[in-house]
Amino acid sequence: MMSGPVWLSVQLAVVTVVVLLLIGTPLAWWLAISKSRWRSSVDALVALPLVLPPTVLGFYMLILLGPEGAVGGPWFDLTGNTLTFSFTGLVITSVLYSLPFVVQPLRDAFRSVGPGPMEAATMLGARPTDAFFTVACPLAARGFLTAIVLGFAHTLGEFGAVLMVGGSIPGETRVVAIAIYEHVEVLNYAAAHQLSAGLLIFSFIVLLLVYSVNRRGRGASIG
Amino acid sequence: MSQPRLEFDIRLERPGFTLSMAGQSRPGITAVFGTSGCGKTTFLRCIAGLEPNCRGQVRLGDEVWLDDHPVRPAYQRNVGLVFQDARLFAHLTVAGNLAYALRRRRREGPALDEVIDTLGIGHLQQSLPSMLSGGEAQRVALARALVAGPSLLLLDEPLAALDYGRRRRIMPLISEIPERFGISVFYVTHARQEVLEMADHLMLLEQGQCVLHERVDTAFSTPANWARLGDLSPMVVWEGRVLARDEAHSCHQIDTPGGVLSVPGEPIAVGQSVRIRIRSSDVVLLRSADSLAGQSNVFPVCVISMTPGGAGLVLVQLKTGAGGQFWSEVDWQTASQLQLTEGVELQALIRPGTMRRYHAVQHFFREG
Repeated sequence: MMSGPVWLSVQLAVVTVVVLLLIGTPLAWWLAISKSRWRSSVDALVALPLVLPPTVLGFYMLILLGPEGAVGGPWFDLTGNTLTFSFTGLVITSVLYSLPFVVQPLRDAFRSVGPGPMEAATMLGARPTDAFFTVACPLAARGFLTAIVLGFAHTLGEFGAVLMVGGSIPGETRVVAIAIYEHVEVLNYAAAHQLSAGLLIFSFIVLLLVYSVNRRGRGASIG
Repeated sequence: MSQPRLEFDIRLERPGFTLSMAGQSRPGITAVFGTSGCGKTTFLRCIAGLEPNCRGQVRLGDEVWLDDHPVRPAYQRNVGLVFQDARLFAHLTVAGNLAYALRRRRREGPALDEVIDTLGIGHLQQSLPSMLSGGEAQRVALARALVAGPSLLLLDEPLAALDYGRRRRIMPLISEIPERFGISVFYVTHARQEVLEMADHLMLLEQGQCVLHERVDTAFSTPANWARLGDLSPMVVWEGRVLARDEAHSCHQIDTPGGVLSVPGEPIAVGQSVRIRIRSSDVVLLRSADSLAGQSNVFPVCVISMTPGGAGLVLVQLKTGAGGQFWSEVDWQTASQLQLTEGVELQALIRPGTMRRYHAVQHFFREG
């Protein structure tokens, strides 16, 4: 069942979501509470992958992560490996590509929690980090669920950026969307059907889950 | 039972508003009173440490909280704050909310059971905040603040969102807090009723300044304060103690600065402190007591001063033999019939039905 491209896609999505939660949670919190004049700019930057053609993002990532690039160069010196056409490069690309799908629901959830409960926790002697993990995060639980599910599903479905940065190396960068594309190119419709239908059904179930959870309470929205 | 004293001299500037207050806490409940936007809530937030731009000094006993810049952040100040909207943690049950406070408390505090018992929330332990009524939520919020073992309790209009019945049930609970848990309370309100009912002291705020900080009875009995306390008619507030209770007539003998008053109303225990309000319009002046034989609440009084009041009336300041002073308002015609001048002695009838009694007050009065 978990053939090469599918398994690779799942691995990529899991790693991407984990990385996104680690960097997206503090970023979302900052966006939710900050009064900084930089906030709008950061909000816009985070939303950029929503409107940018994936090939544009992929193109810049290719340059950035390439052996001559600002990130790929030092990485090559350090590890002896290139970032382009590698799983690690895909993770970095996917993190940027799926950033808004994780950060925005979290930001909205934190914003709807508001400063009230945090102040209440503070007055009971909770330090800021304590209050964050024991009050803000549990109250934003729905936002976390939305963020995880959307981040996972979106990473699973990406194509353009991944193709630009990763190409199609079986077991390394040949994820399910690329496998479908290649099956179609060689007119292997049966295999393309199999993967496409799987992705379609999976995506539908995921979205159904998100919407039914959100309907049961004030939820976090995308956009 | 020594309560550390809070001393503050603070300043907070905002566009179009400056809060500038200095003073210290006094034992019991201090009502922070004033109209909307006068800075009551901001004052509490400054003391609590929730206003990062607050400057000046705040200290509790020997503990410095603020010395131009925060020395102790809010979470290190041993102070409880109950918000108008309760702010219970929605993801925790009532028991969970109390446990949250208990785990983080910074000093010896009251026993959990005692707090639960005092506020009558034992049956709510497993409920989620969304299942509670407004009154229940506020009782839990009060309990949660107390369980944290604060040295000082700040209450920001905790009853404002409740209906009259619920308010009446919670007020006696709040009144009990200073004595029972040994802490001073600042109580923000814009309801005069709550001040008279619960507070020992009154801090009146006007445009970010404290313009009055006095005992409640003194504050309400001083003519200069009547206008700023909300256009009060001339009145005095006396602190008294129940001497005896006549069950048959549901009447109390109450010892007041003016003498022993006979006050009807719902039963209050003998020995309990009460507060009596007497308005100038509740007082009838007579030359002699002959026609009032057998009437209660008739006192021989002496006229201390007479000042022109509004609408052709004259405001007469009176003093009983016991020394208690109060006011009566008569028109000029009556004044001349009674031959009122300073020093004249006559009889005053305080109509008992009109006396307003605030019986939740039961604090010790210790001047700090």
